[in-house]
Amino acid sequence: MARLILRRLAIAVPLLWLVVTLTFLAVHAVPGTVADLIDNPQLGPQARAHIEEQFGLDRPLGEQYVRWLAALARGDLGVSFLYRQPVSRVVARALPPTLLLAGTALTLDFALGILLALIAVARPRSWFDRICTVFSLGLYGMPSFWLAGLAILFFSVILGWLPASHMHSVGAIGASSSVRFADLIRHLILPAGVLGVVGAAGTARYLRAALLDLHEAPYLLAARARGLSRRRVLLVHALRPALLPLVTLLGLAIPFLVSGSLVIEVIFAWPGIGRVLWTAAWARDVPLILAVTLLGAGAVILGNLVSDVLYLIVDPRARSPR
Amino acid sequence: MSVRTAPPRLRTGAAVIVLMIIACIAGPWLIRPLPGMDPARAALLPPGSRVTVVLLTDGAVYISPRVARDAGHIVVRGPGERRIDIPRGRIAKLATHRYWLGSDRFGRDLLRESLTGGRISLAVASLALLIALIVGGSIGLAAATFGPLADSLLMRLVDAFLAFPILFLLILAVALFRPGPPALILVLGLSSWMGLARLVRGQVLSLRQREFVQAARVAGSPWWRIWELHYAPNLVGPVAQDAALRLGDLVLAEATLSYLGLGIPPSTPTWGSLVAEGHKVLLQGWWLSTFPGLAIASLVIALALIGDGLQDLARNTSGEGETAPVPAEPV
Repeated sequence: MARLILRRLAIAVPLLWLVVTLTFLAVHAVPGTVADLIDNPQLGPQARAHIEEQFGLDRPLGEQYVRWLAALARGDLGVSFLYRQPVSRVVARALPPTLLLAGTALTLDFALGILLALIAVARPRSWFDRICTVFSLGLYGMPSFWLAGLAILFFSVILGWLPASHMHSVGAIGASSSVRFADLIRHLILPAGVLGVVGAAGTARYLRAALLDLHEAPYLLAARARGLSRRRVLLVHALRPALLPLVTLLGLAIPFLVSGSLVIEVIFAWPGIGRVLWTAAWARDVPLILAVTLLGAGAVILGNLVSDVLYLIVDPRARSPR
Repeated sequence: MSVRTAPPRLRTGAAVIVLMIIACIAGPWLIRPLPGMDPARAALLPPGSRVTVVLLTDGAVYISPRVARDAGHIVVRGPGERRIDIPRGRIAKLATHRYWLGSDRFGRDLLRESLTGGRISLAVASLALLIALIVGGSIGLAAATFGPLADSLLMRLVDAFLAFPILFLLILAVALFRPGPPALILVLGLSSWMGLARLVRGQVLSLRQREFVQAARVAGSPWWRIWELHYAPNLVGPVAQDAALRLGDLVLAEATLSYLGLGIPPSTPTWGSLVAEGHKVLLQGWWLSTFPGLAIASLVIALALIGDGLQDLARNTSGEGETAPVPAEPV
């Protein structure tokens, strides 16, 4: 297992390099620079040149690339064009909101997904199973941005219960910490709820199929034949092997935790990584785009590694040499 | 397999898809705006609204939601609910249009827009799937056929593509092409072939070990015969199942990108951009984002039913269970 981890980490470095290099080339292939975004018709060619010089965009592409890589090797991600701050600070500020939103959404996703699947499988082909299946299938097909719009219309506009955007109310900034916490939770409910519910539909479908596949397995027949209760068979004998595929889902969850959901963050004006990438992409903020891409790719590689290692731990059959 | 013996989920899903395709192709051609219609007079009409256009012989046009027919003349509601009586003799043409799904803020029929948008959404997703099938299929086959070196190189390529955040590919496409259908198809296709490559490679490698393939080899069958008789028929099922679900993911991805304004330019309606347009006037017209969203959901659900049905089929014929595919990563 240690060899697997080491080998994967060794591959990770060139892989990350490939990802950022291609991103670098792609961003520079876009005609125009950050200077185009300063929306001022009186911006003459001289001022433009000045802005481009300020950000080092007047240098040859190769030089920009080498400088950026050299700085990266020292752990320096550069300065964001848009925020005029070190990229590391911008990313560090956006990471906690994304972790909070994605973490809450994932908890809801897995909790609701496992629950729905268990209820559905407890009595296959029963009324309840059918309702759960139809419910999760319906949610599975819904685009998250569409559900977000409906949720805003219903809960924020018509009922007026929950705020429709941002992470804090303006009035809560100077308030006591308990008020601010309650305010944060109120802002968290809609985006996390939409993400969690849509995700739970996929998880439930996946897990239900995995559990039903096991239903006819000989060792479950044997367990039932020994007279074990239905609940014990399901929760102890069937659930454990069926959780194996969930490990794969957990691997996918790690990149999601870090990069978040771009659409949901944009719709709810949630100040996380997804929204930072969104604004950075529109503003041609090269250092910021590269840093977020690096973060995302790193999370994907880490997620794959974690899910492979977890798989080896939970499934002894996978440990046999190829 | 005949239609009768097909699993019910497969039948339902296929029926929905066929109906949607027919509606999207024929619909915009059948539902046409009324001649002489002033779009401004039909803005933001709720679903089921009716508008009548009355063309007079002298060229004047009356547009009214309600028209009362009397014996000798008809009564039109003019501006400010004013009653206007028009004798029958002066009417050159009288045409009524019903906005089954309501109209948008430019007075366009949402049903027609949604069906036109459906053409593009369906075409983009299907062509992207075709790219994914070609690229994924050939890379999977090459990895399985051309020895261990090619295998490990190609599988690392798959890993690299899987490590790219999807937005990277988007920026690349927007950079190299003008944003529009071709760029979108290419981006979606090139970001979704990896699963298929892994699937095809895995299937071919495991089929190669099976007795019937080994027997055919020993018996001296030429390679193309083995492909035709053994590999191809056994690949079709899993690939079709994967393709059905992937098409659903592609529809959702296209909708999300168009919603964000990264996909098709907003002048062309797609389901995603219609939802985005609808969200701008969510309070004045809830129907504008609701119905295109329902269209996306029904298509994705129908494709999921087809995928499930194909899995039922595989389970019934081979007796082997396959676990459901991993749900897509949220965008």
